[in-house]
Amino acid sequence: MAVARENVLSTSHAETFLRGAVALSQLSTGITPTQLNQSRTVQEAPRARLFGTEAELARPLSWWDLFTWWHVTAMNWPGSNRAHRGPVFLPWHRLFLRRLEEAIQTVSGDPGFGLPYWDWAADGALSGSDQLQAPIWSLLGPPSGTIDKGTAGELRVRLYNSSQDGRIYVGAPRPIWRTAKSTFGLPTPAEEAATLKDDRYDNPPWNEDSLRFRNKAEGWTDPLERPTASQGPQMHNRVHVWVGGEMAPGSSPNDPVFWLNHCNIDRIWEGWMAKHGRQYQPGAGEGPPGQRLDDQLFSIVWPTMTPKQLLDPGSAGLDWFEYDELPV
Amino acid sequence: MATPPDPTGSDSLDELAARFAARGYEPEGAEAPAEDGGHGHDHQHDHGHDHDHHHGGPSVREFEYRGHTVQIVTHYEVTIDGEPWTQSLQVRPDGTVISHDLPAYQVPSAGDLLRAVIDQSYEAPEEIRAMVEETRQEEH
Repeated sequence: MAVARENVLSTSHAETFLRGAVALSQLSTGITPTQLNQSRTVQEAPRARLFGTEAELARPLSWWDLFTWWHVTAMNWPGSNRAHRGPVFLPWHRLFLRRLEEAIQTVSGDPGFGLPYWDWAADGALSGSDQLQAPIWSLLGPPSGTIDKGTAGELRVRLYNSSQDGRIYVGAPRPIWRTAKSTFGLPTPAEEAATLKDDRYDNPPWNEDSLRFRNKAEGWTDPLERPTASQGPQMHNRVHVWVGGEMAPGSSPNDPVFWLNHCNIDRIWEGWMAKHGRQYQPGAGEGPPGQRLDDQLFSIVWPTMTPKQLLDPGSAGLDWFEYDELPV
Repeated sequence: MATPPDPTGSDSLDELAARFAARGYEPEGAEAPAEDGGHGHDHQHDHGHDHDHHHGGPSVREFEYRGHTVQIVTHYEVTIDGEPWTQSLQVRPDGTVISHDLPAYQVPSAGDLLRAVIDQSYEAPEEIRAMVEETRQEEH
């Protein structure tokens, strides 16, 4: 049954989402960091190793933590980032989001639950100070400081990918934190509209220097084509940087905002495909290995899928979700 | 015969964890297919980046100008509070600086990037800094 994904400010699923996040952060996987560290996964990807005291390494991870480890491991896989800076950025995160959506359906007992999205471009139209007062922060806790009140304040996370030494630390359960400031703004409606105008999904060099839709949506290329040296991160990237704190390093799935940001980027991708067709580049015989239409995406726990299988989430084969409203 | 995994992912969480354990916590889709001699080379060559972002190697930028080939190799030696900071910094073709450790950041200079590293790591909440410190103390 395809579920409806709706704006977090108007959906009845917002509280289910936060309650589901809290429930998953309290639900043990039965898998300890030590077990993961002893696996071939960590032998092949040393930057996926978890560091902590002996006691913390022996304590099983929650399902919320395991999603975070999946994200960090994918982006630290030897040879190339398997989740970002390339064409698989959008399909990989579509798979990632769907598995969380299913996990929340399971823990909430609500098979009709659909992930909400944060239409951040609507907030990007506000002044810098008003962005920090936008209604979303009443739902998710404040945009700066430790989040220790409300439903989001009940969330406890254990992983932290440090930019001091690159390690993934695991510790005792702790609340999340944010560092949003008004020094620069969220992406604007004009930037979103310019992103949607590009009629090709991706092109060489298939990385953060590409100039087409995927890289504009990810945020390495300015959709308005201003001098990038003065513009900084765009679209999806800018939301991570703007929120900061938990959202800054590779362990960003710790913060529920991560999922709302990516659900919105997925909605923008869906809106783009409605306009330009369900196309994806690179196809067979072009582009880097691991990034092509029929290549398998990096997955832990759940079976892998390919970008091709993920292009249409409402197809008969998936019947996963549809958005209440697509950007135009 | 084992029940095949449900490709739609609707299995119960306990079953999924058990299956992940049974296969030794190995990922799926980790093995990228081999190069086919096509345009895969473009991924690294066009802009000369070090695409193994995981280590602190030099950034190599290369471009053509009026028939001349220019290569710029950038090394950084960074200390913070006198201690070496050895994570990766890469310079993009437009001169902006990015780092694998703050994966969404793109800033005008290495100084800006390191200020962000301090904001987001060295000045993280006490609980995080204590976790890091306790881990390091136990290792020693």
